[in-house]
Amino acid sequence: MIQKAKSYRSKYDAIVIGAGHNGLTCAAYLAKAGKKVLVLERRHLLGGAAVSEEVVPGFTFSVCSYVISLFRPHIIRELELAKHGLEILPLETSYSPHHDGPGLCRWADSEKSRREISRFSRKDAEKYPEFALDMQRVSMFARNIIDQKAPDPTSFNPSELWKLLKLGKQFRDFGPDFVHMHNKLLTMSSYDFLSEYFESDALKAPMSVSGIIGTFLGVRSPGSAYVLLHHYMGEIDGVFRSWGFAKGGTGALSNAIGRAAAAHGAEIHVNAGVEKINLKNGRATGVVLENGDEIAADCVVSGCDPFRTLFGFVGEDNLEPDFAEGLKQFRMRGSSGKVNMALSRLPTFKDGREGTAHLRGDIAIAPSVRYLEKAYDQAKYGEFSERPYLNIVIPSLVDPSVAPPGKHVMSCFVQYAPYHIKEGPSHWPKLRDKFAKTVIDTIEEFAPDIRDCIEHVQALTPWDLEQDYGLTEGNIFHGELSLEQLLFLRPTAGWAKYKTPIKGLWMCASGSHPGGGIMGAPGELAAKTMLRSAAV
Amino acid sequence: MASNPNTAQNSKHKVDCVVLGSEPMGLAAAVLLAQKNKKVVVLEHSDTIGGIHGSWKIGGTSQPGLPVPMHGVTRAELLSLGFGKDSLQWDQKIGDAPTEFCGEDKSIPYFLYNSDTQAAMTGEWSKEMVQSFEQFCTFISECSPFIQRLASGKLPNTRNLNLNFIWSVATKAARLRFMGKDKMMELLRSLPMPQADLLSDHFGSLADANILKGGLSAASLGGHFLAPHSPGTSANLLLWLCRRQHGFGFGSTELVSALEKRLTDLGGTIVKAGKLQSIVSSNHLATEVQTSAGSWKASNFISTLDTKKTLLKGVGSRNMDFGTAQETKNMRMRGCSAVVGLELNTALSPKFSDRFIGKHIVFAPSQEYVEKAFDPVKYGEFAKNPVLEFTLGPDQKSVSLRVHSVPYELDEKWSDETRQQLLQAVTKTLSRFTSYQDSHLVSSVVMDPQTLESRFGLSEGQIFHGEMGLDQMIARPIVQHTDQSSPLKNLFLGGAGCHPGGMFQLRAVNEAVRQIK
Ligand SMILES: Cc1cc2nc3c(=O)[nH]c(=O)nc-3n(C[C@H](O)[C@H](O)[C@H](O)COP(=O)(O)OP(=O)(O)OC[C@H]3O[C@@H](n4cnc5c(N)ncnc54)[C@H](O)[C@@H]3O)c2cc1C
Repeated sequence: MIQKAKSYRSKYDAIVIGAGHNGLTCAAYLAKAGKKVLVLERRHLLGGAAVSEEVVPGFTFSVCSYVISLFRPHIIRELELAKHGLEILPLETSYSPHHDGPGLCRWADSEKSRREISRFSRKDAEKYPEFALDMQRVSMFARNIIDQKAPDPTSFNPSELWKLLKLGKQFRDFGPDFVHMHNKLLTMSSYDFLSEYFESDALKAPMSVSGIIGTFLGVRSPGSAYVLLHHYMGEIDGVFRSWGFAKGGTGALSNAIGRAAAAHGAEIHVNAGVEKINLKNGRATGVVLENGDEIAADCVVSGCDPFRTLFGFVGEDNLEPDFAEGLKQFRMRGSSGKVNMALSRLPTFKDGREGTAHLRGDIAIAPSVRYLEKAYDQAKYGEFSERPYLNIVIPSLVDPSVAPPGKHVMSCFVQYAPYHIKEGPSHWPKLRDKFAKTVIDTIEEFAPDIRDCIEHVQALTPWDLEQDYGLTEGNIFHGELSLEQLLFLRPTAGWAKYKTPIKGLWMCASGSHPGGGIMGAPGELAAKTMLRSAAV
Repeated sequence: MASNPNTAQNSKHKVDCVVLGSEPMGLAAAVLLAQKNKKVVVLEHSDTIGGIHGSWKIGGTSQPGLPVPMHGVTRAELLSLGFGKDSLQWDQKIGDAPTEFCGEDKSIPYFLYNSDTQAAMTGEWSKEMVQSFEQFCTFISECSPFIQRLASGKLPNTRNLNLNFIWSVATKAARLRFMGKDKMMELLRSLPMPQADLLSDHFGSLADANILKGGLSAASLGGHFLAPHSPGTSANLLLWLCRRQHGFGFGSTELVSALEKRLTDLGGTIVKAGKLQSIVSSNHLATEVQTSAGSWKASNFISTLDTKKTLLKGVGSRNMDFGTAQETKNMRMRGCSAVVGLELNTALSPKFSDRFIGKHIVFAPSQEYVEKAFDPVKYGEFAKNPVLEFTLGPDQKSVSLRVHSVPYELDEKWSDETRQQLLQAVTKTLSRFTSYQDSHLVSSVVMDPQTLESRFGLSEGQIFHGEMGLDQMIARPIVQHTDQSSPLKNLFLGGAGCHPGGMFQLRAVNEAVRQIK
């Protein structure tokens, strides 16, 4: 699928910068509509933050993102990704070990979960299914929002008003209880919200973390409840509420999209970093590569974050000062890191549980709300957490293809690791080893033999995510997913429809509505918007 | 019900209207009713009038009451209470009684809207700071009319999604839109933000802004179980600032005595030490309020107590539907401020000048200080370096403090010993920026949130009758009853627990009184 020869046409209908999964999705839709599309990727492989790399021989790491849930099922169908090699293996458990005792494991089997939860609270065990139902109802509505362009409440345009009315009506049709619940979800902290249902800390802690992943919020910060929904919005192949691994690592998804794009005629080049976007009379006319090559196109679509795109490729000098000021207020500050490990064998958790069934899903190091909140408090003052929240997966248990026989890969998502560390972000490389050690020490408290199992450690600090993966300030979502940075305000007021103030320049990645995560929606919606407006 | 030795319990009375609670809002409700020729009685839990706002005594001296400048009321509202110019010096603009934001080695008087005096505030600032501040003020005055209207209007009732609801939302949206597209976007973007971010958008990391940012955060968040980094707190800040722009400035104690006098002139009565025992009802009609000081029959009731107290303790959850009881229980009311009174033998003055210029003094040297003070509360500890808000008696020798970041549930439990530790944290902090020395202290009183609960009847010691998180602002006090109604047809809710919440405001009591025929 990747073009070997370094030759380009004299002109393309569209150039897509960056082969992240959104860039690729956008390219595939444009190519499918018959456009001549070129994708340019700086690194040597596809995927961006949705990537698989053989970091140590025999071990394939999902280096950045590690589980798939929000990817829009209609994209899988429309681009025939299954045919192009996408296979998703569902995640069935969610396990949270404790310092003592067997911890709490939630299973796909609801009866089993009920038994586990009732060890901590009978009342919570009864409430648990009710909570899931309530959340699913709200996610149904939320899906309406992520599957269309962000409606603009400031517009007097009849079609916008109509869209708002329609959304308002859908909202209303769910009934008053729903409206109230929705308002609470938007504004409350995930801890407070869960406290309206549950009493036991052992359940609230691992549940509340869904509300903080990738944000600079604590589980007790207002506004974190909404992200809880993401856990219930997950649908794979149209099946509601399922999370999964892509077989072969997350990059397999990007590769499948790449193949779909190539099959429709898109050209994809790697090792082709873009230096700047060429402008003529305020209009994008093509790009200049890092090696000096110039390529012309009718329009340019950026699959990079808004800062890299507009301050990097375009340059602040070419932007209206008001627009630039507004964009600068878009908050990127990353708050998380990643530690990937090659293991010679599975570590033993001191939980007295038999077998490995409980380790096949995600493992949350979130023993108590106090633990999580303390981790956050440190980050507020520019330190990484001494005892961080970890979200661990061992995909090799479900997908043996990613590690040599009998061996395993362990992926640890680490929070909080603020990009703006008090010493200054450029000090991160010096802190990297200490950061990795903190993570391993944390795991050791639950699995004392972890150090004996480690063959190799790859630690990614927010600085590394910026330098190596092109994520400005290490923000995994190309900009915080906070209320004031969503919908018609993403990335900045008035420019939430994939357009930019530069004619012929579009944005199609996580910095645009509906935002970050392996969703594909920004790429798809950008392509469809461009096609409809006859920009290509 | 536990039998009460107090014989007064058996005394029965009959009036037209009963008002529960003698905080300024309760007194105002009673005055309004008395003006409608109703026979009213105000029932007060404690043995002093005005709750935390009234004056209370320690040792021999009378304390000036809790330091809250009253600024949610308009001139028209004060006139409606029958106040002439002489009964209260209410024509003083807030600018004449400024708040003073203190740091360790300097302070600024906070005048936002009085250009004559603004110079005193901006005097030592760099040019850049003055410019940022001016832009900030412009932003506030642009938002202000809209926010003011939100605060003084009714909440849209999401329980009843009828034409009224749509109309109410649509008119609000239209008003917002007519601010202009850019301003609307700016306001919508600002409201859900943490105020730390909003202020850093406006002031960057200018060193001159530290005291201003600290003071604003402390003043707008104290008691809300929120800190500057909490999302949504920009809304609290904007609400605080906008109300200041419109209100009048005077002390709460003066207001309480003025209201008390007005009420007795009108023939109303106030009964002290009447702890609420129950609100008797049948068929969704309240018939009688029983307190430790006797019981009162009436045809209408207004409660300005907090909603948990009114509904759960008073009405009883079996007299309302399950959802209402559930919502009331879920209301978050974690109290997080203490009230401390000090009597000194030497006048208190700041280290950096010979006297305080403000009537309401806030010590919060920086925003980080406020954030750090809040952290321990989440873990059941109180701040060792707390934010202080205080007022001084006329001779500068009595100090009434509100100490922020003191939890209701202390891990170590509240006792004389822990209260002593809190007192030390307070005096140590005072000595950082004032002339205070331990040898100046004559006597003191420390009221932790649990004491506030038992003494003034505030559930969980929550001085705002409910935290002001965004969710509790848009459906206040509970989603079923945002319109002053309650599960009982003739019982109306009118306290700080109602929209717009916190501070002294007449919207809710006006609305409650209006609904009484
Ligand atoms: C550590 C980590 C863990 C995560 N975990 C999850 C998870 O479990 N589940 C989930 O749903 N989401 C997760 N995410 C988020 C998710 O991975 C991202 O939001 C998403 O992959 C972003 O996709 P994108 O296409 O919008 O942008 P990107 O993937 O960032 O794509 C941008 C592309 O542009 C390329 N590029 C940069 N500069 C240039 C240049 N000058 N010229 C050409 N190309 C350039 C980059 O190399 C990259 O390929 C995680 C992210 C990280 C970092």
